[in-house]
Amino acid sequence: MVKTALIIQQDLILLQVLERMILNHDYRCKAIRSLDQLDIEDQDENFDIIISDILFDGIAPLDYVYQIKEIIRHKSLLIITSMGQKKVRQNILEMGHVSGFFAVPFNFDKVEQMLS
Amino acid sequence: MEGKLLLLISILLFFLVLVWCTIGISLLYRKIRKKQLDRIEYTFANEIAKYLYPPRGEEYSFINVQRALQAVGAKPSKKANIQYLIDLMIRAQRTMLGENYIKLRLLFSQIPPYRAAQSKLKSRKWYVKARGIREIYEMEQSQYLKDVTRERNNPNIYVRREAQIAMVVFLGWESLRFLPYLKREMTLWQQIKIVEKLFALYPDPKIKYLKKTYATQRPYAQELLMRIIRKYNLFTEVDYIIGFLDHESFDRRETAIYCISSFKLTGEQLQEVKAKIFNVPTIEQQVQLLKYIHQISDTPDLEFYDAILHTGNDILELSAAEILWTSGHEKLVHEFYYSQYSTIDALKEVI
Repeated sequence: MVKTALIIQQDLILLQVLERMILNHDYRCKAIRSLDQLDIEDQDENFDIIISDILFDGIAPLDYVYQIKEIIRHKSLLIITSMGQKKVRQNILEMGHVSGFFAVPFNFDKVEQMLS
Repeated sequence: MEGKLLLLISILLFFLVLVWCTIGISLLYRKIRKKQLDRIEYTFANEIAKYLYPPRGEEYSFINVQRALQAVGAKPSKKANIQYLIDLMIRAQRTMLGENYIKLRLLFSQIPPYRAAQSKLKSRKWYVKARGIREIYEMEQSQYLKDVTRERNNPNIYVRREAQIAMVVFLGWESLRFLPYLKREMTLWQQIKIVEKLFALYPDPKIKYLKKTYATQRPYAQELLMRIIRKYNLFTEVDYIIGFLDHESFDRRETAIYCISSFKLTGEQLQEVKAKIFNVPTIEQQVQLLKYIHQISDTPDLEFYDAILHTGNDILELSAAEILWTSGHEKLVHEFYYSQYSTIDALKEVI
């Protein structure tokens, strides 16, 4: 069965590069720039991995992660963000069920290792 | 009268229509321009992604990227589009590390703009020149290092700031061969920027370059060196900072006190600092040093605090008394204050 991935990144460059990287690992991938672009069908999907930013308009980073956990079914969640302050990182990792936290600039090889 | 009014109204109406037309054209232009820039961004992101992770069984070279970008208008003849492309390149490079970063650097050296940054360096406008230098170091085009180094003493503060940062990015610790001997002063902000950039890119200290610059007499350079010693926590070089604790310049002393406060000293160094405190001409700085000495000492040096109590300055006396009092030597404080009154009667009068 084909694995599924969801990427949510505001930065278009990062979004496209991550999408191509995931596709090369034989995933079925949906890449969007914000949660507004999610379809109703996506809520039935149980994504193998979600790769998301935490900086979005109108919502605090921690609330955003809570919301993701609540509304989208998934097996693992990976955060890739330009908001790499130690405190934010610590708070998010302490929430549990977050497989990894990468602050920009980061090494894509490490994300690939997590995929395989 | 009626005719004049009609003429006035028609002139005003004409201006109103003119303003509406200008707004309309501006809105239309912005809409088209935004679409064009979005197309360049989308194409750039897409091409970069394909270049870094080519679809299975396909080869994707820089020529494909170049053709795709030219097709959406990122050509050398369209300067505004090229500038946008440079900003995108810098943004892309800032997000990646490792193998992808190296691949991107290789790609950017092969696609246009080939010499955009270099032509900016020759510009007469300071903001174009400064931007050119920033793009050169952000995109690590080290081939322009010579041209950039020439601008380190530029009369414009923004141009020389960028040139100095570029030298740190390209040369690292070796940039200390030039930075302490600049013709113009360096602001505190620029010193901090240089120290932070050096630490971020070259975290391993090369003390031989630092030691060679100790002879510099430029005020900003001495402060810069002290900040570097503090940032890298070079405890072997603390003596350089101690040397400035009783310097005649207020700013040098201020920097030395700030920088030394993150170090723990050896017994010998502590004695030297204690001796220097009496030569510091500003009371506030003496108090700062006193608190620092107390903070790093295991047990209070009673002889030293006794000498401070007898300096004749109320603020220093009070600080020393406070330290002694909180360290459990209340008796010494009592003795000192009682000794100021010659007889018991005089003391009773005060109480």
